[in-house]
Amino acid sequence: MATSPAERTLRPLRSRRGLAWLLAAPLAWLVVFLALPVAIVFSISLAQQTLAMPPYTPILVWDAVEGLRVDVTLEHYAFLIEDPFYLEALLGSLGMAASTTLICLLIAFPMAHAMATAPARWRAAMLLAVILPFWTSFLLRVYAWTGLLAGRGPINQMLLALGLIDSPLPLMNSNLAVQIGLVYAYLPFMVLPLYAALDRFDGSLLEAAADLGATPWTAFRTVTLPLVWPGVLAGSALVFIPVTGEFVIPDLLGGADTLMLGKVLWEEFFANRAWPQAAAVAVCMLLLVALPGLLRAAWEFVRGQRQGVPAVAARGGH
Amino acid sequence: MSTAGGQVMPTGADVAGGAALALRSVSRRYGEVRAVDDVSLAVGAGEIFCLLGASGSGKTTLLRLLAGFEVPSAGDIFIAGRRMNDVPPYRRPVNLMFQQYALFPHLTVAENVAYGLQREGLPRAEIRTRVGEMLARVALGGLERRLPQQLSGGQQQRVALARALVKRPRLLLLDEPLGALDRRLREQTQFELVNLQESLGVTFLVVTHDQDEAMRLGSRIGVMDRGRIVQVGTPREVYEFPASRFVADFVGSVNLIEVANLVAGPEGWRAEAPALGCRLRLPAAPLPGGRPPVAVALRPEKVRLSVIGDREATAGENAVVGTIEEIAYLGDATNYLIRTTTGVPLRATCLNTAHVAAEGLRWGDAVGCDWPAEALVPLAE
Repeated sequence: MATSPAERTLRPLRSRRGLAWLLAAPLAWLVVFLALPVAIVFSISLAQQTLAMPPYTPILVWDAVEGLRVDVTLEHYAFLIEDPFYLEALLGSLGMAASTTLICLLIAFPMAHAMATAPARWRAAMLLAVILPFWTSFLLRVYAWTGLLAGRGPINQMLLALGLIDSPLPLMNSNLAVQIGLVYAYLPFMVLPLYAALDRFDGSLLEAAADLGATPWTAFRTVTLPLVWPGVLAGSALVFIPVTGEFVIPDLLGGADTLMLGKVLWEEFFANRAWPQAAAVAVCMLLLVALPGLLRAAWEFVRGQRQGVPAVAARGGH
Repeated sequence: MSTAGGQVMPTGADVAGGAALALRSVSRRYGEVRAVDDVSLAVGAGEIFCLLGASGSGKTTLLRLLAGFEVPSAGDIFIAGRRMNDVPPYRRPVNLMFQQYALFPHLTVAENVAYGLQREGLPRAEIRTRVGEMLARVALGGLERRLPQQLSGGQQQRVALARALVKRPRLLLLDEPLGALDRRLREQTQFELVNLQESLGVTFLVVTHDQDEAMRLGSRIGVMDRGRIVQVGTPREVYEFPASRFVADFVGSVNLIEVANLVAGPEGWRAEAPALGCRLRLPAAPLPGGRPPVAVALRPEKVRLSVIGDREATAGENAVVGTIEEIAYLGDATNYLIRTTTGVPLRATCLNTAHVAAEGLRWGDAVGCDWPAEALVPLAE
């Protein structure tokens, strides 16, 4: 083969200017909607709290005597460490994100497996069933749970009718309600990447493993899991990261003891009007969520450099 | 083990372990469909047995029954003297070389080959030694750390073979082992395969739809049709003495001639071939049990062609006349299609032994075709 289809479509881009133009659009997007807002939030986190609108002092001050003066403080970051409240909120968020990811994984894996091995004529319908909830607003779907979990809601009614409980369970405004809501809302984000990975998985590899003496569990551990691992990672990231910063679900379904970063952030901004403090929380949260991804990218880059091959090729073309 | 067609019930000794593989009336049904229908077979230790059949003949289902991926609906499977019906694939002393190889894409060549030994829980040092030996044996030394997708088709085939053989199975099942290779590589690989089999002494059971592959590899061939084994024999027996019209037609090229008015004589049977408009003389003992044949098979290479020119010639005993309608020059041989005087085509093959074809037969030439009585193979069905 002289040129692959990919090469052919890329040919006009061999000129550097063509490539630069193509990259300009996503780059502009990233600057306007990611870099700039992050820079603004970061600058606010370094400013002083004040009673004004906006409620913080400018970090660049023009002084007739001294000229341009930078007025920054790290006190809001220091306060994050001093007050255990923030650490608790952080641990609450991470714990909730971890449990949600794990529960989603346990539910989504069999689901995705069933979809990937189902007869072809069923697959489109099953896939549609997973995506269908997205047709309705996220907020409405979470709000619906307040009704379902209410003291006189259908879940309690059913349990009472079955005689399993004597009085309605206090389901609403609890961590359990938050957990249910989170798993419900984020399950599709786990199912879809897992399905994509399992769909590509060649079933004859499991037969080969069995033929070579692997029990079904060993075959799963040594063949299926390593090959669908990218899907597991992708799904976990898609669930873990947004759940860490989730605000709507803990706000609507959670109670007084539900301590999560997203809610803390919202309260600092809107209830306390402590913009610099809230900005400091936001920056820390961003770092926390982005750090593993950045470390991994850096590691792959270093490894790629050492082996003298692009990082993507080194992973084996999957 | 008899040469005459059909099924051979394994003896008690076969089942007890004399044979590497013994099947007793094995069937596999899917609803009303009989993928494998009452198959009995015994394969001796050290044999290369080829199951030859068209797609849908049940040969792959039979292979999967032996590997343990399918459970027989009826009958018994014995491997090295042990009944295997309820033994899961991971506990059977057989290994399968998959048609598309099914190499683990996330493991290196060495890890692929080591996989089966690791499952046996062997010590690391022993695994390393055996993997190294096996890779050297299939000429893959130096490629240990490559991933399967970094190998050529031929190399992948050898990894698959090494991965199955390193377990030292009693019986190695090979699903179309040469099917995914190009022609040049097939011939080379097939000799390597036979050499390897001889030096290791493992019993091979090869499944193939390619009669060429079956003839080259097999010490015996079992021809399958619609879930049944219709003939078992050496490649020579299956080719020269096909048991039925199906086998004669499936293995190699053949002229099938219907016969009528059979008369037993002192020198053999005489008959008429209405389609060809000639009389036939058949070999002395046409069929076991003295059953009268319904047709005869005539291989094209056993037909002798002669130019008749202006001479007046007519059909005689084991001889017809016709005109050459098609010529296919193949280099080593030339295939002719002759339209006989009755309008029925007859196929003939001539080896091009002379540097320039002496006879120089051309399209439209009138030719005489004749053949010896021994060339006719009587068919009972």
